[in-house]
Amino acid sequence: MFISLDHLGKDFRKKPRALDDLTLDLPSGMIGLVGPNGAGKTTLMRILCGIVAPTRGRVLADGRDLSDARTRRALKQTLGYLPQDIEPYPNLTPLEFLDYMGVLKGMGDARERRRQAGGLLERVGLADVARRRIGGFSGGMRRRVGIAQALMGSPRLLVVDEPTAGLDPEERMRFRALLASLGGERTVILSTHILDDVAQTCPYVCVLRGGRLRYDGATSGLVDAARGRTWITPPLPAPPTGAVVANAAATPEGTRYRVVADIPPAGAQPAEPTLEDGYLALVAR
Amino acid sequence: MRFLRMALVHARIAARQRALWAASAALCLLSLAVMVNGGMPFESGDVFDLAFFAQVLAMLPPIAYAAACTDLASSPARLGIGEVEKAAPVASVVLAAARVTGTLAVVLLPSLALLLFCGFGQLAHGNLLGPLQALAMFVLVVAPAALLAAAMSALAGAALPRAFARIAAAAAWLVVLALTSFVGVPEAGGGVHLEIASDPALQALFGLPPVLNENVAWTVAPASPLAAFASVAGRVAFAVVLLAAAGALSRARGRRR
Repeated sequence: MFISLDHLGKDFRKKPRALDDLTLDLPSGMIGLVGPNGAGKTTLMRILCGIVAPTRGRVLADGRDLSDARTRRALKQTLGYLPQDIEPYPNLTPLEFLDYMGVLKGMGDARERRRQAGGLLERVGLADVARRRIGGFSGGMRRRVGIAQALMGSPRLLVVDEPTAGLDPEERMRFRALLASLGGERTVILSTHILDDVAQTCPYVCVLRGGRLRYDGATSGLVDAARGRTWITPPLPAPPTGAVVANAAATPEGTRYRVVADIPPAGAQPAEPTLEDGYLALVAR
Repeated sequence: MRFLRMALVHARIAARQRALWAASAALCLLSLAVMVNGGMPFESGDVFDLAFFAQVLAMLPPIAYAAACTDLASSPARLGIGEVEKAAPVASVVLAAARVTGTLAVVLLPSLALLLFCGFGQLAHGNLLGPLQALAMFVLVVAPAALLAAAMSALAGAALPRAFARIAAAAAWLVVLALTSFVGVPEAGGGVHLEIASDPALQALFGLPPVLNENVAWTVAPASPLAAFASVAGRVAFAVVLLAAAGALSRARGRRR
């Protein structure tokens, strides 16, 4: 699915502008969406899912404007959405919950719904608890039910918001592998604070800050934003002023800081930038 | 079909809240027990007895619905599942209707079963229309009352913390009962005593007197068919308004979170 944002803007009453003049063409495959809190990631995803309407501009899905109710409805039939905070109905089993999601997505054939639900539970590693109530599941298991529901109906567009937040490292790896396996056949928009997840799964990334687009392009290109601006200081008693601290390592003589700055702090040595440095260079400006 | 499937899922969710249907069933049995002094409604062929039972069923079990349905509008926003439901190609009003239908289908089951049992009991005692009358009473009196109680509960649940909402909704239902279910009847020696007013729909459909006591004289005129229709439609419309308000309030609170 080809998604295009055209001068997109969103205002909320008595709040700073959530999205400001966003123009962007999203390719198919895995797309990372990163930015600090309040950057407008969730608002953008809710607009893409047809949950809220933009205040200005438009979204085109395969060339069709989402402001049209019929286009929005058609998009929703091919959409999978995993919001940041979701607790599936605790009184249902995963099988029943996925069946319900299939019904909501307009899957009329009960046998097909059950077949897909069974297959997805197998895929997210919940087949053995398919008939147990969700209320007794751990946070990680509920998150897996969440991703399975997003995949019901074989969506062409998958939007996932902070899918690995709160998961233990093993669950996170499993989740990452699952997400990576999905990108080939559909457009997957992955919003996260964890840059490592983006680095491992998304060849394309968009960086938002204050509702504006700061970067869109190859994930590897994000590093270039910090090239020639990444420094490691000598041991210091306090962080250098006017620089964004990316990391700090304690030594007996003081703390050695890894910073992103246009002008190097006194005595600092240049360093090869990482994805994290590139991100900080963009969002901290 | 899709609506029924959605309603079925919500019925299943409600049915697994044991406290909900257990309280509902207990209050239905209490309603039947209230009839003990006047003779059980399935022991006679008199539609009056059936109507009295239907009205008690419209008064007592809804206390349980008022206390238990506080999550009806607020749970999707609270669980976050509302976001997923909004991203599905289903109108939110259809989804809300399926949720209410499914929940009410479960909590009303004991009332329907008991009312039909009494209707068939009346059939055995010579009232050939007993089961049909029971069904009509369920649709016109018991179900709208349950819907109204559930809607009040949903609004309270959307506006207040859950524990307070349960108490507030049950208290509000008792206030509604006190204000709408009784009528003052003059006593021979002066003064007035309260009697249960019969439902306008039952007055119009089954020729019941305005007071649910055959032994007292009444002075008010029986309800006209138009008044009966207005009474049922008004209750349903008011419940729909309350549910819409509860939904809007829940969405607004969900956005703030």
